[in-house]
Amino acid sequence: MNAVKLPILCFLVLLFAAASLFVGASEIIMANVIHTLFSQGEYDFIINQYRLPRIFLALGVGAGLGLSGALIQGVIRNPLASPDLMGISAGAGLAATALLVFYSAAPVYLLLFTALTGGLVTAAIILLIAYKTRPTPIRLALIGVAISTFLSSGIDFLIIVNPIEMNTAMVWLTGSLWGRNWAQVPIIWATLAVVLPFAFWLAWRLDVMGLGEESATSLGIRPSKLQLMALLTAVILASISVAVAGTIAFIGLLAPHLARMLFGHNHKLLIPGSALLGALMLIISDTLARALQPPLELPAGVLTSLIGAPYFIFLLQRYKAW
Amino acid sequence: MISTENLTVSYGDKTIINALNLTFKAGEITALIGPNGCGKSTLLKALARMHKASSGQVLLNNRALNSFADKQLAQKMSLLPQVLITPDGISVQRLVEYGRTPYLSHWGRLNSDDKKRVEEAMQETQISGFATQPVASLSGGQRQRAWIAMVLAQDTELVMLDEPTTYLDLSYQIELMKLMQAMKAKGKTVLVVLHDLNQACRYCDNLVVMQEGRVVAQGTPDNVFTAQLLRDVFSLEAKVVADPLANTPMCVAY
Amino acid sequence: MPLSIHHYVTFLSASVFLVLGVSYSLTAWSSLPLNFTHLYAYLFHFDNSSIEQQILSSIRTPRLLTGMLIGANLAVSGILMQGLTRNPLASPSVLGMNSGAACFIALSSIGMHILGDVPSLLAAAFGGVVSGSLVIFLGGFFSARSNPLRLILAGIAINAFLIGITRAAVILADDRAFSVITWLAGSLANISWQEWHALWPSSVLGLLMALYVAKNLNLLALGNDVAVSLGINIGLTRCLACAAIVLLSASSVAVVGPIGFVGLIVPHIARRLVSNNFLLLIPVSALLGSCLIAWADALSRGIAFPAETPVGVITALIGTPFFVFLTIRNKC
Repeated sequence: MNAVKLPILCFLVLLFAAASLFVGASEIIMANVIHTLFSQGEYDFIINQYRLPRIFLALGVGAGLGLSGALIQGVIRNPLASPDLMGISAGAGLAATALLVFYSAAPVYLLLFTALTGGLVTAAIILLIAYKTRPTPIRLALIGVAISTFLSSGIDFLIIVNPIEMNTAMVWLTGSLWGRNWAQVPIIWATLAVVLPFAFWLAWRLDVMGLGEESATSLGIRPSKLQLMALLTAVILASISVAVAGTIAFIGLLAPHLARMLFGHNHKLLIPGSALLGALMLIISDTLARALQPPLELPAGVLTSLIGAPYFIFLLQRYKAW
Repeated sequence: MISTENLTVSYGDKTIINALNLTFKAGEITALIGPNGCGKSTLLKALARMHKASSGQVLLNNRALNSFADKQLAQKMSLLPQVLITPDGISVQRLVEYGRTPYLSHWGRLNSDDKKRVEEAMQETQISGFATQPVASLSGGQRQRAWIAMVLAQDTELVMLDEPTTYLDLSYQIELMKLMQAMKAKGKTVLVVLHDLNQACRYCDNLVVMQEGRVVAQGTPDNVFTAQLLRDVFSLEAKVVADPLANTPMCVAY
Repeated sequence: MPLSIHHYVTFLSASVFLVLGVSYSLTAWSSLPLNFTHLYAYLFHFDNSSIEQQILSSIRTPRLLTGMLIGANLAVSGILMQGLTRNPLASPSVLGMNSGAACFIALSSIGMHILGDVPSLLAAAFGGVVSGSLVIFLGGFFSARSNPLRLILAGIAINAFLIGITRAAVILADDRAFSVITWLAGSLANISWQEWHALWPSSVLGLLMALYVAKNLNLLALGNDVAVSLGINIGLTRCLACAAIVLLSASSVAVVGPIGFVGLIVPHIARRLVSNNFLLLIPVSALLGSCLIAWADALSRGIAFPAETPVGVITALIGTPFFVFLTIRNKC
């Protein structure tokens, strides 16, 4: 049964990705789109330079965020843990914004490095607090959210004090795939190509972690080492996603939960499942964001939080261990 | 087999176990008993390397515990924690398969030998019939047997059980004692923390009596288990008589 | 309860701190240099022809007074909420009231009038009430296993949802975006006497109501059963307190936009300074809230001078570390 779900998910992702090619401000009929894909033509710019890279980006960033969330939830047995609720996205976002504000011509690798540093520093702070105070899952979520709020107001501060064009700033803040091109595509996909095999390597070890730290130790798996590796991977994924597409909320929280509903607790399925679901969610959000009121665009991040926040409430209603 | 050398373990600045020198007999069942908070569980965790020793060391087969790699150690000893966390929806078979973790290579695939061991472990604990059922749907006794099967599948010479009978009905407790004896029959060394003193006397070969992080007595139940000990260590006024069935000592409190 | 020396000292030092904040905020960080002579002249022999005094009277004074009143409003509604929910983390912004008000204002400013064409003050109040009650309901305040943290997390989710809608509204209505965005960050810039006149009646009413229910809140803190047996009408007390909260926080948000964390921080400091007596807590919170905004506003002008930083950003930057500290320390 479960083995069938993965191909179905794959198919859905491809279907929506293909559909997304046909959606946008200018209406292009199907035959022309397909023609343009294989041999350039009058729509070359819109299709090949604009919509296609965006689709690849949406898939890559969505998969990265979903995977990041799955890894975090795998090692911190906390249903509310995710890169955005833990402030990692906001940390990477603040660092990237600061770089863009003070050095707007920053090359891409520097932006990546800065976002990564921001994400890592935030994660380190949260881990330090968690290590010192041993909070309950729900309290840890609260600390993460507060730190996230703090970093976001830091971003607001930078943007308002150094007014770049207001609307562009707003769009970047909420996380958007607008105005990106092929330059960002290899970054996120290369990251995925490196991280995905490693995530599979972690998969059954994460399953064993599900038995609790003591049982895992007794079975020859050192929890602290595994936690560190998985968290580090998750932070890298989340930070690079932010560097590429801004802070996109709730995918890192939702995708692993949906994956768990579909696949149960087996990480060998959960990991590809979360990545696929994340990609699916972002491609749908981005397509909707373009389709709602062309030529105006909503940031995909706005749509993901409109879908994600009610789901978060739903999780809270179901969460038993108060 | 396993022994400690001046082992000291502390939480923060509170010393739980103080300069402990102790040797456990190989191939026998040893029960750790003592009042609450005497350091039994902490000792077990230190032996399993879950707690760092603040000084001294633990020796396994005359080799320092710290010199073992994680997997290597897990092939030699296993510990069943007191509080067991069952992941949602996990099946009995899968739980038992986790016992093979220390033997798996990078990608976690079970080979035919692993599968055979899992099958044997489930048969020994008589849970083969529930293999595909979720662990959460089992009764308390069956669930505990599933966990024991996981420990058996791990196939270690040393097995440690931290209060395995807590929350179990009496009939299941006896069942568990018999499983322990079956492990001994296969040549394993068993260390178990027990609350029920009479069970400890009846089913275990040795007793280690602890109080405030120190060992106050060690030896066979016949030698160790006296009314004087009960009074000193457990503040219990009791008469020690012979068990009518096994002839081991048992206490009747008054 | 007789006032002790300690209380007088507290009131006195808070007032001194307030006066210092007021004079600093009135004069500092101006593109046209202002100093205390101008302030003195403005206060005691006003000269209509002096530009400095003109600035003080038409820009600085309304801004400061409005800010201080808003600080008092938010602080008092925070203390009322914490008293009512017995949850030390409750405050208007945490419960989503700010973003609810913001969302409704943003929607009405882009032409989606949910209530018909009503003044923005009313739209904001309505939005605040809707989101506040949604959070309280979804956060399980009335359920058997109510947990303070659950309320807060529900607030966070509702916040995210409403901010999402607000941002969408702002982006879709590009041409009207700018005024809404500066307002969204919670800024005291562009406040004139007009805003002050819109604000003070509801604030005074709300503060009076807060003082009126203070005694009952003290008894409510002993638990519902004890309060009832002492003859308190719980329903009426709650209604009055809620009405006061709505009046105070919604009117503030409508005028300056969401200013977070004042309602969270100030009551905690107040509780440290005076005992857990609402009759004292309310005036002390009001005083401290005014103080905080007076200083934060001056800071918000100075931090990136000559650009203006919205004061809401400053309070958030001060408030969130405080929130983290409270979360860690408070073992609820």
